Amino acid sequence: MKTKIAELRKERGITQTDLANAVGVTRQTITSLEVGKYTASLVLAYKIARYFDKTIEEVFDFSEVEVFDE
Amino acid sequence: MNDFKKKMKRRILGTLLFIALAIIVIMMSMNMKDRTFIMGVATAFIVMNLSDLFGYFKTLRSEKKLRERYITENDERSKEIRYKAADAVLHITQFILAIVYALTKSYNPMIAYTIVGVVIVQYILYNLMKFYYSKKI
Repeated sequence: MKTKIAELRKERGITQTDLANAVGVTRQTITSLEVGKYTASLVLAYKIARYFDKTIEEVFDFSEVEVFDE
Repeated sequence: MNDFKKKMKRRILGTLLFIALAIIVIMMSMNMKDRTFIMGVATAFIVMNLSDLFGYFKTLRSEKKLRERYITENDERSKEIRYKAADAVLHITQFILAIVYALTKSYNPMIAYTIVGVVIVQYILYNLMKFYYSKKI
């Protein structure tokens, strides 16, 4: 899943380690999220969005998520 | 973080209990004929647990280390990696056991029966755990 984490982080001059410590994950998890290899849980997505003072949709791109309509 | 602190204290108690049990095992095996093997295993167990114990005390002494350990243990990506690795290991083990069974059944039925027993126990435990977690999660 694409995210704007790297963009938001750079805008604010925050390192991956700072963000990782703030939301309670390892730096490697932030790296994986930024490159789109790992999809965050709802709780982690909420924590990251809250850290940047944004909504989850503003940080995470759900456009490629398949939704099954009836 | 207080809950994690309590968890660490519980781990210390558990580890101390295991060390005490290992010491009892060593003392009980003093007069046994094949004591070297039992004593060796129990001593290794004590050394491993002492190392864990040292780590727990070190972590509890500093808030920074406690937080670092909490993050390392609870990181959701690391947990997912562990689950996937465990699942893969289970399937690889079953595959290896199936091959060993096929190779040994004609010339050593005893090994083959043991393997069948291991596979059955593994299958039962796997399904019990699946049932337990399906109710828990």
